[in-house]
Amino acid sequence: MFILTLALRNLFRNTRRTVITSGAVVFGVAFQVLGWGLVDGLDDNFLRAVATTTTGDILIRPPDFPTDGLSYPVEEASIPPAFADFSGESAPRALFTARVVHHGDAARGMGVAYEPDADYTVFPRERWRVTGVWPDSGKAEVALGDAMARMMGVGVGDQVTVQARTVEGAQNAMSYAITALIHTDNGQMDNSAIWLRMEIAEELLQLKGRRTHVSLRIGGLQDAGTVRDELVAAGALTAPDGQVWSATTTREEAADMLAINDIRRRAILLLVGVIMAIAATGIANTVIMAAYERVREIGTLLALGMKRRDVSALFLVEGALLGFGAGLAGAVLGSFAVLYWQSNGIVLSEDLMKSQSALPVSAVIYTHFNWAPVLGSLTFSAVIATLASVQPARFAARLNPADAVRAD
Amino acid sequence: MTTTSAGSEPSPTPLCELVGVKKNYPLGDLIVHAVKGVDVRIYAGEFTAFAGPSGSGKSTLLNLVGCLDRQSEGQVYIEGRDVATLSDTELGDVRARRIGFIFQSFNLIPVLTAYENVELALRLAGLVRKGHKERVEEALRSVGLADYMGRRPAQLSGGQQQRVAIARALVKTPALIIADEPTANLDSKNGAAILDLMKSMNADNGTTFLFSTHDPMVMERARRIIHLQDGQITGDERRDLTNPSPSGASVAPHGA
Repeated sequence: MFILTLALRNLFRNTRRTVITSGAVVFGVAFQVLGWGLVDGLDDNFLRAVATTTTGDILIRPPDFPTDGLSYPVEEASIPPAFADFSGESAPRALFTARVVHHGDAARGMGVAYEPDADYTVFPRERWRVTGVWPDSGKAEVALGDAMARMMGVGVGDQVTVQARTVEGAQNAMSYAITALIHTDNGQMDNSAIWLRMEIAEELLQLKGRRTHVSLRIGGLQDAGTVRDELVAAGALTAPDGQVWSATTTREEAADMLAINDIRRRAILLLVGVIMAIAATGIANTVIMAAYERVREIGTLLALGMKRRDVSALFLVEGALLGFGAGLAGAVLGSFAVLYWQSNGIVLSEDLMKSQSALPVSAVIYTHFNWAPVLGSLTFSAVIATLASVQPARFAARLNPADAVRAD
Repeated sequence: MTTTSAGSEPSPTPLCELVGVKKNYPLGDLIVHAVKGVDVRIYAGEFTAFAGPSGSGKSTLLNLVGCLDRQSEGQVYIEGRDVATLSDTELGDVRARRIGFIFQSFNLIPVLTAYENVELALRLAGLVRKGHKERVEEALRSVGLADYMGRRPAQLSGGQQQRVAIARALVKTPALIIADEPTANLDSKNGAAILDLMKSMNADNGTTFLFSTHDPMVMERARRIIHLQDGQITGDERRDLTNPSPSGASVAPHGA
């Protein structure tokens, strides 16, 4: 305890030097905590965007349906499993590649044929912004992603033609009135979605009850992977025609995007490692300067009977306190920033959203506070600082008290 | 020629004994012979000074007696223990419990208050236990610093700092207090006051003091002066301070 007290007071002998030395650690730790919070927030953002617009918690597809999320061959549609014993909600959909034509202008998009009652239960729409009203039952109406509509220069009340292949592979086209422009949490949907009620899409695509996807929403805190495995084990994914549909969780569906974020995390770690290495040099320099400046004091402590290991411990504790204190300051700063943006969100600029509008992310990124990077970076900074103090501590502990007590 | 003792009679068993002690230092390719075969005994209750010019070996001898350094040849005994047989840690224990130090530059720990500096000596001696607070306060009171306990060294004058150092040396009631030119950084008034303080502690409590000095004020007050020249003892003078005339002192050449 005495060594801790003495070390703490020694740290504040030269406050300016201590603060300057701490700067790199403060920056490094704050950067890590904030960077991690941002990348975790991106993960959340992406998972939320996907789960609330396209996948639900579990996405069921026919066995041969592509999983790249870029092509939607309606020819692969078939009669889906019934999920009679599933306790959650299910929403069958038919996704298809389509073109929207308006006065000679055409845009390629992703058709989303949905069953309104079921769809609402799996995809909560409270956060969506709907300009107009959703298409009415049985009417030749369509809703478009707001970014797509903006790009085509169309709005509510305009008449557009939707062209698509039927399940049998024939080209078909029908004219619809736009009743709503839809803005979701998913930029990709807003940029390409052509929303048709299922009974209207049945006519356009000749579906005859066939579907390309079923999205499941599981209740409570169940793990999607576990539920999926139970469905597989229970044979619930077997369709009436005997085909076994494949099931993926949202996290599996988002694996590519999450992997990119993992690369971002590694890049942050690498950068923080470099910052910490620079900080460690500064700490080593500060502690060794302290040792050289305090030779007579060390000699006095040795003369008074302090053990060499305690002298060594004194300098190690000084280094550790410097690292921990600076790390704590950085962690507090970083955490405040993460918590602030966790509540308020970071609104991406319009330009950025335009350039990233094909990505399934929302325009507002909410950072995600996580204790792991806070505790990890705190420990890391304390350990690095302690290691940086080993050499100065050895120097101090090896001093000859007879010479040291008379040092200038 | 015989040695005449003055003041209190030395006890028969020496507190500290040096037998044929030599100390050599390497200096580049050269070997410096700082102490060249010294035999001396220091007894409990003495107020003794090693006197001599710079380079005469005073501080080296204090280092050896204070267990701060080890001799190159010969034996050093502290309370009958041969220090050559002690490990570094055991030497540290001897310094912590049996020897008090007063340095020329005071050597207080600047981040500790006067109280904490004195307490430090008890702490390192393993004597921080019930009642130690009163002991620290009493030590500071005895050097006239009862009102300065909470001050750090930078807030004290040189004389006050040296008083704290004396309290620090005294608080653990060591067998021996080693004072290395304790008045060198003080003006004559403060120097005299410090010396008188140590003298009264010697007289009142029987605390043993061993100085190195070339300050006439110290030599005036020392009851025994061991003269050194070029690493050898050239004289061992015991003085009767109750008789201020020169005849009150007797000088014995070393080896007599």
